[in-house]
Amino acid sequence: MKPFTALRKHLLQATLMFAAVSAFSAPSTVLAQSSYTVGATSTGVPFTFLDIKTNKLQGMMVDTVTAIGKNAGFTVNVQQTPFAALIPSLTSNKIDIIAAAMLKTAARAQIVDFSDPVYSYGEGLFVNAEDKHVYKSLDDLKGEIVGAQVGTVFVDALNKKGGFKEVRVYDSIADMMRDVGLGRIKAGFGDRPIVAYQLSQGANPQVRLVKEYQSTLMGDVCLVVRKGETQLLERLNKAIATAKADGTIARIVQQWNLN
Amino acid sequence: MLIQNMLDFLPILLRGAWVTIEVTIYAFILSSVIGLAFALMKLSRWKPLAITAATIINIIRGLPIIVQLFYIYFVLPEFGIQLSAFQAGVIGLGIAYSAYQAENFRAGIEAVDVGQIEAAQSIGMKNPMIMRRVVLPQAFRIALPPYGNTLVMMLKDSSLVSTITVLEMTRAGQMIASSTFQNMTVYTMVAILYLLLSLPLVYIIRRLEIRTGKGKAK
Repeated sequence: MKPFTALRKHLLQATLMFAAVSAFSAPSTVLAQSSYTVGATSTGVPFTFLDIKTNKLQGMMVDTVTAIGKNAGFTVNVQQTPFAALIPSLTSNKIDIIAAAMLKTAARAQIVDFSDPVYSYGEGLFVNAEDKHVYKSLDDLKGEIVGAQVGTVFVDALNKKGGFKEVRVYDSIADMMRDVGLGRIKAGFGDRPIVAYQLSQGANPQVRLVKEYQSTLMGDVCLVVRKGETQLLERLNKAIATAKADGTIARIVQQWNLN
Repeated sequence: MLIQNMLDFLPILLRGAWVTIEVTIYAFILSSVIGLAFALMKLSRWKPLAITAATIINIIRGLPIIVQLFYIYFVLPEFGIQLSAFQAGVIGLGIAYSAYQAENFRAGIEAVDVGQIEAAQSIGMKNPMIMRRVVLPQAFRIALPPYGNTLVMMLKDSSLVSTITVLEMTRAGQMIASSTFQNMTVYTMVAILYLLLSLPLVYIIRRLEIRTGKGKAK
């Protein structure tokens, strides 16, 4: 049994490779490419990160791009890539698709093309676990000391909003959680899904996520392709639409506790 | 719990350590070959050759290694040169270090006593033969301790290739740390593994220094 499945796998791979090669050498053929190299960061819990049991990348975006590939009829080969190297790797043909927690911004959209959004998120608010107040908006925190993570859009937004006693900037969400837990600051802001996931994994029991808080700075997470690859982009968008309609994406989001 | 974690992390880190060793060895060999060529060019009596070598060495030394790596991996494809991340890492590190290797070798060659060269000339040896039989063997012994130190430095700097997606030991550590939140355990293990690789090298270099009479034996 086993040898036969292995043999079949090899035959399949050979066929796929042949298909890929023939598609490459003759661009006019209708045969669509059947395998793509996908770049993902390995430090973006819970979107893309290492599963230490299997030594493979896992996460919400890995599942999403795999499911979308299945819909569109291609397999993915996920390759770990540091965040700062994602776009250069794409533009220099090292990878074909980026699947990471990369928000769509106007600056990035000038260099690469974004698919339709697969997920959206904004800032999450966390406070001391003993603070039972229901914070619904930023106005509820007037006159308090708040924190945000360096390099995020939240820092600028909080400073622009004004009315806080102080906006402190932290290197990591973990540092900020520690200060919230110790009561040094009233509340912290961070990427909502990341904060929610870390808290659900017991990152800091002295802190709770404020469920009632309404995010005001929403951003879209999309798949990213090279500029001008309209054919691939169309394939992706069609497959994303299907995955949204049949509930696949909702199921993945649910599975990673991201709703 | 802690032991179980460490047992889970170790295979991933060891796979990274092996890549670290491979990158270091290949890059070291490459940098030695290029470095020796630069050293001989720089010592050439034909001025244009010496000036060319000096200029290239200065350019290499004036650039951060990360920039050289990014250039080789991300910019060369624009000129049609596609290298894998591993190849780009080895070539980038090898070229970056060739400048330092060249200085090591040059210093070693210049330290060989002029009298020896004159003696060789007096018995009728030609220049290439003097280089091969008289100068280089002695220069190699003199340059051995700095040569070894360069190897240790390279072992540590090989972590830079993680920036161009090579999955070596530092990168493996980052990946585990960010998915398990076990920063202390992971980075302590990474540090110990680097020490296990570098301390034996440091020890061997020390022995060589004593043998060549450059260090003070106690």
